Amino acid sequence: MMCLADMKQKKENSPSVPVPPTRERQKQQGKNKKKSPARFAAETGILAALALALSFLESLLPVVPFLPPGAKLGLANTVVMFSALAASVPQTLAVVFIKSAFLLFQSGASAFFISLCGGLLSVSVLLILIRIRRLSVSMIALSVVSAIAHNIGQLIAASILSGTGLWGYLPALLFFGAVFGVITGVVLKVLMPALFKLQNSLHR
Amino acid sequence: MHDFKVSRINPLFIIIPLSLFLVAAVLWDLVPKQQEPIEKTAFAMGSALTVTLYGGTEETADQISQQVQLLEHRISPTVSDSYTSFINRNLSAVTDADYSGDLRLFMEWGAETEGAFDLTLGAVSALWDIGGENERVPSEAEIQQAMKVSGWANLVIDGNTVRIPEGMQIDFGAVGKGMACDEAKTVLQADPSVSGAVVASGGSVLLYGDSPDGAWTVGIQHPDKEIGETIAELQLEEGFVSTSGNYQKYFIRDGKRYCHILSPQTGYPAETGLKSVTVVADSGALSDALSTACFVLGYEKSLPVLERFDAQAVFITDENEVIPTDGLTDALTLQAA
Amino acid sequence: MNRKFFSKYDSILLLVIFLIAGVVYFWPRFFAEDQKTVEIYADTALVEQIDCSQLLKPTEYEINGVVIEVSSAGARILSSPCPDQICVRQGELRENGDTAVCAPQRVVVKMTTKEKKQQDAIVY
Repeated sequence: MMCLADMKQKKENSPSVPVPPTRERQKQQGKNKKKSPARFAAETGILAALALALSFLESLLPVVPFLPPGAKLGLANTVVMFSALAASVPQTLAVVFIKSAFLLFQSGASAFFISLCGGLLSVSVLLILIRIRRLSVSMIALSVVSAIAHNIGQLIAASILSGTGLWGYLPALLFFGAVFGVITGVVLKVLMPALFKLQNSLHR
Repeated sequence: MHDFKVSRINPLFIIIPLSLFLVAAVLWDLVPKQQEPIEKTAFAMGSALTVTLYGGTEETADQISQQVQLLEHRISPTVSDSYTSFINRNLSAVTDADYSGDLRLFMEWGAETEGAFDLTLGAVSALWDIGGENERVPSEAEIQQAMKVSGWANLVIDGNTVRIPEGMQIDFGAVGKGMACDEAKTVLQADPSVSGAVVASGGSVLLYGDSPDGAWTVGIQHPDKEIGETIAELQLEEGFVSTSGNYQKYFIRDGKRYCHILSPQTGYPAETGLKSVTVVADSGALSDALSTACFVLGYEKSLPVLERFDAQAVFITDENEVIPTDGLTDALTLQAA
Repeated sequence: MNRKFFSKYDSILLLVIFLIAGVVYFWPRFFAEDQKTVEIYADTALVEQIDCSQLLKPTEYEINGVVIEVSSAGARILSSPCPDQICVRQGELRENGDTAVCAPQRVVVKMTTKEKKQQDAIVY
């Protein structure tokens, strides 16, 4: 819940306080000085739709036995990562929120809550790491850390909901977070050019 | 971050082996270990029947207690419609072939143990009622009276017809728990998914199949300590183990201790310088019968009997000396006092 | 897109994560409290299940007339209306698999801990 408060602050601050431009930002800002509300909505919508599509795609993959609950490949995370890297903070948060909100209709409130906690923790870690320029965190590292943060956020939410500590899952979630994080990182690398193309196509 | 280049030892040299080791340890830990055994406790033969199954199903465990309860209904003198009760009441009965066959076998065992194993002493033990509500030291005359109608010699088995003289009471107490273990073994043999099992019926234990630890460990009760405290331990393969001891059921009158194992010769509690005898044999009934017989016979006279039945034993003397027969010396470990 | 895809520190990061996962996995093994559970059965049905470590003071239970005292150290049958009193002589149950049985009253008290059973059976 702490992170939620942090994010709200950031959300308010980010337009007014100039963030030292990262390489991604420079690129993005160079291309479009101001985002019109229509473009904001269109871009967010496309990203969110993409995230949902990837979630759906992932659900089509064969079920791997022996995986603990919560350990997923998380292909949709690639879109969130792309948003964090190439789109604005409000857009990124919107994608995370829409992705979770879809679960609200699909599987109910508790699934929504768990997904949202994971998503918010993951995205806040991601946004912070991207902005620490000196570290220049690699994409693989970003992907791994955000995947693990996602798992931990879900674990916290599930613990709150069930009222019991579910820390027995932590080792497995750390391990699979790292493994799947690497995989989604590679997927993002492959998708990156296409995603940029998509983003820029709206500009024409 | 720059520290990496400055420091002499590359942290990778520590982290890589360590994480590989941990991942290996976790994987090893995740490999399914021997599964938890199925444990069930039921009541039969006047004591608890504890079944521990490695492999197998709950049904098999339940079936064992059902079979033992069926056995109890055939042989127990406290069950009013058992063959034994019927004979004890009506002095003669036509039984099924199993019952008369068992009784005939036990009669032979009685002869081969010089009468030390005797199931016809019910009338005498009823006088003493050791462990019951009317414990007392009966008069000499009462004992002589009861002894006159007791003893294998007075029992007649003609085909499937069993006849006893007026006043005799048959009592399966000395073999019942061992027979329960035999029943259990029959049930277990019908379930090939059982890899190993331990069935304990009072003082008799069946060790079946393979122990997950290589050998079964059976503790021998310390005669002077609380139940559950052992004086020695036996490492055994498949087989049956039974103990008879003077500490199980007894009462003390005028400073004298009267135990529940009666001598078929005198009708008085057996006193042969032993506190307990534990017998390992190939049949439950045999191990149970021999443990009683050896307790009655004493150490010296027991040895030829044990040899005849190809059984092994551990004797505990009045001085708490633990004496195994030759076949058990290696299997026996004394517990620290 | 100038952000590096893979940095040499990433392998260290991954290894450290595996390391932490491994440590977290084994952590409870070394710091778990000695868990003792007493189970009381009447007529082979489980009627009480008591976590000994949660007990601050000895507690008495009465099942079928049998009085059982359970404390943080173990359990014992204090008294029983049965004639043979074998269960009372059983003494304190402390180790895994220790069992006190009162056959006449059809009561079983069983101790379960995480430690390994020392003996498969006891003949008495």
